[in-house]
Amino acid sequence: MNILKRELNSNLKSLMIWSGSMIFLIYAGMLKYSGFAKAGTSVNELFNQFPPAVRSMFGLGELDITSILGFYAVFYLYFMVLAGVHAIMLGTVIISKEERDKTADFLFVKPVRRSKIVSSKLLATLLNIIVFNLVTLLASIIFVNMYNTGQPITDKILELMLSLFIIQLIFAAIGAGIGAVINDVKRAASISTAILLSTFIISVAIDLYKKIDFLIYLTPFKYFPAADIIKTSTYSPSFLLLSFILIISFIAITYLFMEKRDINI
Amino acid sequence: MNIFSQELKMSAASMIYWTASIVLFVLLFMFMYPPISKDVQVIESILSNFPPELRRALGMTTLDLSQVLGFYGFLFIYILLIGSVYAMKSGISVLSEEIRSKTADFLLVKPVPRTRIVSAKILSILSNLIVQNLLFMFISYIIISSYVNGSLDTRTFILINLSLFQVQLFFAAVGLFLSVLIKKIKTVLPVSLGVVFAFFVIQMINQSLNDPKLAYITPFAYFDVSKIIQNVGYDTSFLIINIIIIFILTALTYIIYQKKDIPSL
Repeated sequence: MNILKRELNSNLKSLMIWSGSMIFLIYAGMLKYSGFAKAGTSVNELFNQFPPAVRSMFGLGELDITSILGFYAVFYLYFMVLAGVHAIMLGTVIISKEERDKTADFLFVKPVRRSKIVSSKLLATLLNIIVFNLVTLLASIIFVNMYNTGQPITDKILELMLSLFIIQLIFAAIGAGIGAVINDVKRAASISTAILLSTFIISVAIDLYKKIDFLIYLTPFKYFPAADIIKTSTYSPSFLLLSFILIISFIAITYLFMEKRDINI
Repeated sequence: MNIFSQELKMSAASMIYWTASIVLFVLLFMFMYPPISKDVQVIESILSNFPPELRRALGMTTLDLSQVLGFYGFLFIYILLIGSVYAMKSGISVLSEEIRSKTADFLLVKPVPRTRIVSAKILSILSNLIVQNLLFMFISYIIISSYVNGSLDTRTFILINLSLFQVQLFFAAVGLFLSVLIKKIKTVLPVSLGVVFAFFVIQMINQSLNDPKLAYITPFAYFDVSKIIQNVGYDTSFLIINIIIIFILTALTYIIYQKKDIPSL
């Protein structure tokens, strides 16, 4: 309990900065939308006459970018990237920072099992990403409703935020796993950065060139495409399963490696 | 001179890794160029009939993906992203590393004025960035030329590549400034990733909305590749803004570091 409290405390400032930036981003985006929507109606009619292949090249699929839902879906891509950065870094650092802060010998000699320390840290990570998600959700609902003149889309936002949460879990678990396997926090953070950048780049490559879409399994950013969620209101079961497996295995790795880790003092 | 060479020695490996990763990125994406350029040619021929306002509203810039330089320009925003993370990371860590590795009181008691220390460290970042850019420009020139049928427009190519250096200077300056402003930065990469991606997302929004005011916030917009290709030159006002921001942030770094409290052991 003490460890959890301590971790929540030490991540509070960074969580506040992240939340503040997300609120600002959503506010600014929706403010711009109000101007964009007026100008765009005629454009969209023309756009709808394009063959689907051309449309998907612009990353829109069947979405109507001048509708607030389509616009929000474009935003959702950026939420995923930012949430991914937050989650993977949080997971990596929270697990491996004790040695950097020279507090490892203080913490690990306490009469607390290592597995319990890991559990508290993972729980703190979970709470942090839940707050991140809720802030994004609330800010989205409030600002979208402020500028939405058509049908309410709150239920769609909820569905999108749920898939965002799964993606956050995946990245946080990957981060924690790396933090546990790699002994040095600086190297762990570099590897996490490399993973995040490569998954992002792969998702861009798939958008650009459809023939390599077998790479889709490598990038969580592509597991739950916004267009599909909006259209069908369901998540692909195979990707749900894959996410579940990824999360469980990386958490298992975290426990296993922390249990045996040599602590550098 | 000692400080400078020590810094270079410590940062050489990481510079090589980051340079290698952007080279790898260009190499992999250029593999996709021949098939994509064929697809694009068909679409381009349809789209070229549309008025430019419409194309912009559709989120299509003037980048012609069927041309090698157009395609390279499209890739370049991601090269900027990776390069900026590296520059920001270098900027943040170079001064704050002394505090983290508890070597600050060793360095700062030496009979060297603090301004000289800052200068030596900034100079080391600068040389790293210059070497990185030269290496990258040379290798990517070879890669790109192998895809060109006729002769490559060398001037445009160099202008595009030089924008990397300038955006990197911006982020290095932001990093330096943050590192003297914030009392204690525990891990460098989470901060760098967060800040760079925030600017990157603003640029993505700016691209789809084409809002002139947003462009001033993010350095990624200062050097819009499609405009560089079109005008074979930079936008002078943005060029100057960038230089001014870099200058101010660097000056502030000197001033704040002069009086900064350094925690001893």
